[in-house]
Amino acid sequence: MNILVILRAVQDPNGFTVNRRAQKVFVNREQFMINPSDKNALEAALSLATESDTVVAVALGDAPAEDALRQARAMGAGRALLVRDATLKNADATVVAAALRHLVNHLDETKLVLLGAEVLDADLAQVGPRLAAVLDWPFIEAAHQLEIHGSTVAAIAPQPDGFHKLEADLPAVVSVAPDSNQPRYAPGAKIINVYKDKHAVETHTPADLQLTEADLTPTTEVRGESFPPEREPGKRLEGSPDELARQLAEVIRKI
Amino acid sequence: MDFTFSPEHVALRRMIREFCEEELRPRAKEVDRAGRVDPEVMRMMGSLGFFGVPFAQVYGGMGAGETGYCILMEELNRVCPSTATIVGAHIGIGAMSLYLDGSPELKRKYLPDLCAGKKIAAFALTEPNAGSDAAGIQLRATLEGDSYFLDGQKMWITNGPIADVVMTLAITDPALGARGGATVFAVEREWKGYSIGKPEKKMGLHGSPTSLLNFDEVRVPKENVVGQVGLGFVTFMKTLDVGRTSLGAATVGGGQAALEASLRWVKARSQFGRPIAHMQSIQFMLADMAAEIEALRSLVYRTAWLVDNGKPFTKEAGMCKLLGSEIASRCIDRALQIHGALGFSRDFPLERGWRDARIGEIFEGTNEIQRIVIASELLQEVGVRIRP
Amino acid sequence: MDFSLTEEQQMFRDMFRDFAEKEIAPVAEHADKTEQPPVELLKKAAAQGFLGATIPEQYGGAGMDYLTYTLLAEEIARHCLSTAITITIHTMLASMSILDAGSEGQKQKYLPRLAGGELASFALTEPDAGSDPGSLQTRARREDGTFYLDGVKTWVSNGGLAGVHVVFASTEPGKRHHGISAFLVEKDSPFVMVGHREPTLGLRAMDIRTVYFEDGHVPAENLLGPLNGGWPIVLRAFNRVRLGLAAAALGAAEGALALGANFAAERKQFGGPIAQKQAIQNYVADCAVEIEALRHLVHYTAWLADGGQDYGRYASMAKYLGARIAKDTANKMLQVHGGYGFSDEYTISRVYRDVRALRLLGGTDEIQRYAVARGIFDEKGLKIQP
Repeated sequence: MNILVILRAVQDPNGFTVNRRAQKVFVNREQFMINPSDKNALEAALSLATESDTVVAVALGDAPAEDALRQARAMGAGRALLVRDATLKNADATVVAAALRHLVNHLDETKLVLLGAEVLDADLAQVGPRLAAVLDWPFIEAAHQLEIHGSTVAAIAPQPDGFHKLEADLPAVVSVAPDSNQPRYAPGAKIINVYKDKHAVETHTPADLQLTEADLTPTTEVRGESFPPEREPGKRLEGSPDELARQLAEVIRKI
Repeated sequence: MDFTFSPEHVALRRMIREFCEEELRPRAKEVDRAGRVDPEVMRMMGSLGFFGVPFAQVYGGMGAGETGYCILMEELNRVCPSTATIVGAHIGIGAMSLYLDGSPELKRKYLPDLCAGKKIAAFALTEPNAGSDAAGIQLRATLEGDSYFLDGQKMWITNGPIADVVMTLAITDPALGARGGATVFAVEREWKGYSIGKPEKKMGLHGSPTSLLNFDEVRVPKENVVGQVGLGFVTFMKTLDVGRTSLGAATVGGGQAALEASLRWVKARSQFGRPIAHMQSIQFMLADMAAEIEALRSLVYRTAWLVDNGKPFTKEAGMCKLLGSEIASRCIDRALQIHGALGFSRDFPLERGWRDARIGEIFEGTNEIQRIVIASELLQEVGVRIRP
Repeated sequence: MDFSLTEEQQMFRDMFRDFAEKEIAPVAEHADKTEQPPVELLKKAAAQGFLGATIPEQYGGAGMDYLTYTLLAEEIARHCLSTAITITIHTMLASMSILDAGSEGQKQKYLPRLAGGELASFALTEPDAGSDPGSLQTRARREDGTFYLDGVKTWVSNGGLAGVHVVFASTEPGKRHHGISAFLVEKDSPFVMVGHREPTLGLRAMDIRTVYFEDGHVPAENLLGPLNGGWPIVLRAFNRVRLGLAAAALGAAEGALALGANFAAERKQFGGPIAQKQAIQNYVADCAVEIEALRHLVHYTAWLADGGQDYGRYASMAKYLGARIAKDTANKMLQVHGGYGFSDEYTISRVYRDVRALRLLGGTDEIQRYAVARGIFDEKGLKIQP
């Protein structure tokens, strides 16, 4: 059985300086890394995999995505699939979910799809739920302490009222909470061998996966980026409980 | 000329750096204080293949060549010189002499465990009366039947207290002396007659254990001769050559650490109303550091390329060690000066780096010996043979 | 020009050398390894009059001139730089400031104590005021004709041993150097809290601490010198201590050279003592040359000071040069020792660690260079900034 792990290559924030006054982000050093919670997802997959499972790392994009996949192979993933195409550059969560759905269908039995719960770019956290929706699989968000029991997956996950133990039937999509485990280091010999091996990463195009034009059309459009507005200084309300309630009500009415 | 590192070397460096930041940096101060490296760190490094980086995978090594080994030494020394020294002595001179000249059987016997870090190696050349004058060694190896009996002492042996296998140079033919009558033996720590002196107290590199080794008629089977009987001196000199390149790499890391610490500090520390980064004296010190480190880095990795491509490299290796140790000392000294009084305080890591760096100009062939080696190579090229 | 020492100076020098060999040399290593200030030794030094060195006899001092003081610092530093600097800071910075700026009453009250063996400190540096003491933050608030002292001083040499602290505080915040005043604070004042000892790379037999002053009352009679007139006191103190440190550097360098030369004469490699190798000879010769040049600069500076002449620029030069020469000599002589130079069992590594401080305390190298350059450009009518 396959355990799929979705990896995103993101820019290393240590290479940025954010200048709020100039409303600019200066990139001092452009370097890419595996999105940290995707690494936690990969570690979870490697820990959960039994003798009969294969951990398959997948990523969409170019050289940084390919490098992320090689790292995953060096860490122990049995296969790595790269979906590469210029049209994927403007992919939004819907397109990514569509591509991943085709990938899942392209592969043999996949029992679990893991990905990180937070991404160091737009961090919309939509890929997981959208993928689950198009696959019609259950989705668990921000999981800690993943366990597989026969045909179910169990996890501790935050709910509006605290942490709960959740269980879902396999196959399922689970996003893994950041820092929920300690990703292993890749042994040096594996790094050397994976990076020397031209075939360590399998490359597909959207056409190979039978993605249609509709699949590849984003449903959202990025119109611009701006800094969040400065927080306005707060206002301190004073008075008796009744007066406070009255003042608060006024504030809420104005919003 | 292609000056880029291969993708596998870039990826290797990234993993090693992450390891050093996560596992070595938080422990570095305690290593210096307690005088030892955490066994857990040794175990982790072993499992990741650190102890066999340059050696072929067929022997259990990582197969990353001299370049990969230089990368390892640079990254380790950038964060914890004591740890770097343990690993460096183990790979660069200990296991290396076996790897260069050992028979396939002897290599198969020891290298897999050495590469996995299950056994630690050391290189035993120096004696109380034979330091720079390595040819003055006196430890005797007497052949009786199918064993040699080793008797004498070795001094200042890095990894002495922890080594499981010690590559030891002994005189097998006194009439020919060290140059023509010495042999390298692989000696196991458990053998009768072998004992370890108490660890040396040193100014720095507190976590790198060093000691005297005593050989009291230690019986060594013939099979444990490394290379050829009588040609041990050649084996050892060859080994030292290779080791020097990686020492140069270590000093790149040391210099780099000094520069990084300085850049952080000059941004944070203000005097006379502004960050000291704005003082020209400081700026020039930073520039000098960076220029020296860059030049050293090029020299080191070019020499590693010579090694990996089977070209002569003795002169260049000597230059790496000579310049590297002096550059690292200068850089760490500038960094200490930039930090002012805090550089003198043991609550800050600068003074530890400063103490650790000093041995660089002395061990593995003092810089005076390096100058002799380089001069010797140069003069040989014009037909003059010199003796120290 | 007469380059010879007077008979009296020679006598003093012989006495210093004798004392150093008999009393200091045997305890120096131990003091460093245990990181314990050699308190018994300092008592013996006091009994010899060394702690009252340049204090006039009328106040219980030995009445030495500056040149004689440099001989003292040199001979002590030859064996133990920690002790030499402990004494130099006590005399040149602290007690001499009381002689320099104190009222007769203050001189009568404190100088005999300090000459007799009670140590003093000079508390100027703060966490945010190192090379720029003008930015110090310790406040001395004036109220009803008395002062309230509040602040933190760091890197206070003799901080834990001192009976008296000479403390510099701002009596006019915002005026930087022109708002600094000096105060004499007794160790057992209730508001004085002495912190832990600074763990250091070298000079481990010195007592260096952080000292806290917690809004404590300092009577008006403990103001040293004029109100807001502390900075000139500091400047004159800097000149004196730089001369003293230069002399200490000279002694330390000489001690290191002796260690190296002795080792080179004994250690046999390549068929004879390593002293037979040209490289070793070059190291020894270069160090000897520099030491000789330094000696003359130190003595010249002392001669200027003894003649009442302006000597600040020379003191900066001598201190800057001395620190560098001490470092170079210790470094080269450590190299001569080979592997033994890195061993804690041989003295040279302690000397190497100790001399590293000379480029930092008493004004860093950078400050000395600035002082010298400023003096030169001042003469041309140009004011330069740090």
